Amino acid sequence: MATRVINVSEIESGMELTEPVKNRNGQVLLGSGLILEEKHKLILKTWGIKKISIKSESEETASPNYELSEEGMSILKNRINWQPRNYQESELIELALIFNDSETI
Amino acid sequence: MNLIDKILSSINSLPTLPTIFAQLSEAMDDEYVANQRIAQLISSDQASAFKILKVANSPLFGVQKKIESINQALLFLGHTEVKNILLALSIVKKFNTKGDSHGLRHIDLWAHSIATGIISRNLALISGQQKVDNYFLTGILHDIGKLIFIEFIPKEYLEAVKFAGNEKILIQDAEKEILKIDHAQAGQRFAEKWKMPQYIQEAIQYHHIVQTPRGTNHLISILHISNIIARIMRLGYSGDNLVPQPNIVAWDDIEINRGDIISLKEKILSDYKIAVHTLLID
Repeated sequence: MATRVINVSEIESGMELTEPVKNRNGQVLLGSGLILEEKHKLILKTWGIKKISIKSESEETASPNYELSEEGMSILKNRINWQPRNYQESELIELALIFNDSETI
Repeated sequence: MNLIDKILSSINSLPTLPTIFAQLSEAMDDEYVANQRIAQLISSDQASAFKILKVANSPLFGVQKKIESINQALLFLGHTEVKNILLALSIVKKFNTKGDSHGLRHIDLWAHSIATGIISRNLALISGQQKVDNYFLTGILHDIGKLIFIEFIPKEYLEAVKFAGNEKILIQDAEKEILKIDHAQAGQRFAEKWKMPQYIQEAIQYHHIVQTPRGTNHLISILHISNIIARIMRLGYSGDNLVPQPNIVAWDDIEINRGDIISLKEKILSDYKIAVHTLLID
């Protein structure tokens, strides 16, 4: 079974927990297998929990590929010589492509 | 005298903070000093007071109502933010000499730093930080070491900037190679000399490597990423054209949702234009 780790803010109703949520003392707050509801967002935030592990529908989302095509990377080659590792970095690359031709302001 | 000693002794010979700032810090640290007294202190310097109001009213701080007096600024933004705005203004004023003979212009470097400050504050807000009043200032100050270099060892620094360009390496690597000290270290020394709070000194010193001996924190992680975003958006110029990959530790430390970075783009651009105008041009 594929799992993935998401931010609490990304919770959608119907997602299934694959690991128990514990507090700092190791006490279980929500058990593994629980089907999450919208209200859990707030509850988890109140507990200070930031990330949870959920069941993932497809293998693809389990280890998403953020790598940019060779063509994309060649446009940026004078400035960027790394491949994105997560969605934040792929947004950075997207931003770099938007601003690639702009003048320094 | 070797170069490092020369830089350090130049930092030590710098005059300390403007008197008004010292008086203000003291007054603000004392919880029994009324806003009225603090407002009086700031207002005694008309030019500064005027600029503080301009900055405080800019969209960056998101105050809906127009702030008409220092008293109101203290009320809406809080002591720390007002003090930080004053410190940012004092430092920009102090180091904003004109001229472009150094390969890296003051004004472009300030533009980069202001952009970093704006992005930091916006990222702090969007990632749910409760206390955001130090982000703008830390962004403004993170590259202060480069200004120290331009000011005190212009010839050697020009060499480092050229070296970075020719070798296509990051400016901090060129600094280490040519000067044997980088701007993060020099900036920390300056911040120490000006008795800036520990967390600011630390953020300046570790803004590339993120991990301090005591671990990391949101301020440094957000500063680290904002510095890179400012480079990506080409806001100002910081000495080279490269965009380094963020330290993965920084991403783990802050919660940024899918789409957040892209969605901030317009806000960053409009905040940036206004702030550059207010801080550098007016």
